Amino acid sequence: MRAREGDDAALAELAKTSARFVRRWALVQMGDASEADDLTQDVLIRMIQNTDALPDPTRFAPWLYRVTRNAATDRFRRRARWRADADPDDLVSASAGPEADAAGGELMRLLHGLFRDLPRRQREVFDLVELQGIPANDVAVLLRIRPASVRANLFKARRNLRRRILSDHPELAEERP
Amino acid sequence: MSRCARLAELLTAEPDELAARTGSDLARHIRECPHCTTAARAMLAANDGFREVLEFPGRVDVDAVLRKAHTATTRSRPGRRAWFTVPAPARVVAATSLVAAFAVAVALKMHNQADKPLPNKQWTPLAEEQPVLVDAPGYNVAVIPTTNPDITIFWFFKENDDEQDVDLRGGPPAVGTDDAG
Ligand SMILES: [Zn+2]
Repeated sequence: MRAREGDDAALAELAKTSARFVRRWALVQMGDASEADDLTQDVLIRMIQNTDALPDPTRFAPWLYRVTRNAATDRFRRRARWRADADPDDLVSASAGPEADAAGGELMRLLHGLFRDLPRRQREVFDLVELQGIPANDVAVLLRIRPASVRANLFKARRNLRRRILSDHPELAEERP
Repeated sequence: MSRCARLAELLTAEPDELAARTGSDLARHIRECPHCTTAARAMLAANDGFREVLEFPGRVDVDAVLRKAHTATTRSRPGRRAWFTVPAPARVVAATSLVAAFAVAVALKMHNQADKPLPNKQWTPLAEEQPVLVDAPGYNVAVIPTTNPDITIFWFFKENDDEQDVDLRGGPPAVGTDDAG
């Protein structure tokens, strides 16, 4: 019983730590805050219920990333199935979520919108390489795509975002000393 | 802001160049050209903003998730133990946290699929000394201190555990090379 309690405590620690990462990855995948929350819960539950399947620690993070990505893919596929019957107005109601309510309000909402408008692949490459600083070759292995594809997506993401920033939101320059 | 002919180069430049931290011709130009200085500043400010948006913790109640998952786990997996913990004396606990282990794993280990650990080799990401000895023939052991001083995670794994990759038995679909998006 004592050991069992130890298991639970360790698992709780792992889940809490993982939640931060999974939530970020989920937001990148889904583009929407509330969907990211839902996806994060799904992934954590699956992780907790399948501790036997966890790979060794050196591979844990990339494994968890792929679990998150696959769960997102699953959601996109399910959504595509019911999308045909849905009201088109419902499909553009992605929430900016609490991120936008945090410090910066309108600015954060605006940036979230710019980011969300990128294709999914560009979002994840931009986050991993540009924002987190992970080398493009490593990201290629993680995403199981060619390094050239990573660089091409990064190139497009930068150009898409920066063009819009310069044309629509030059005031951002004032946000940074 | 749009009056400089070199502005297009900024659209795909590396952040270090935008920050004029390199010795490149473009970085020099950004330092000297007021139009490009302003544009680069906007682009870097946007990156800071993106990070802030993405790092927001969201509204996931991990305790509730644990409660929800725990019932099913207890019911369906009474057998094999993949985890166990021991109360760790304070001196054993490293200052670094599991978060750090995670960050290292994300940044450095995600790519190294070919770098298989040796059998029974102890993987010690954080603590330099390991006064706790664990006998687990046939398994590798990772010792991971956590932010909780009473908890150290001992993670037992076999060589090819990662072969299971994303097969979560009723969980997410198998890994594909590419997909929607
Ligand atoms: Zn210029």
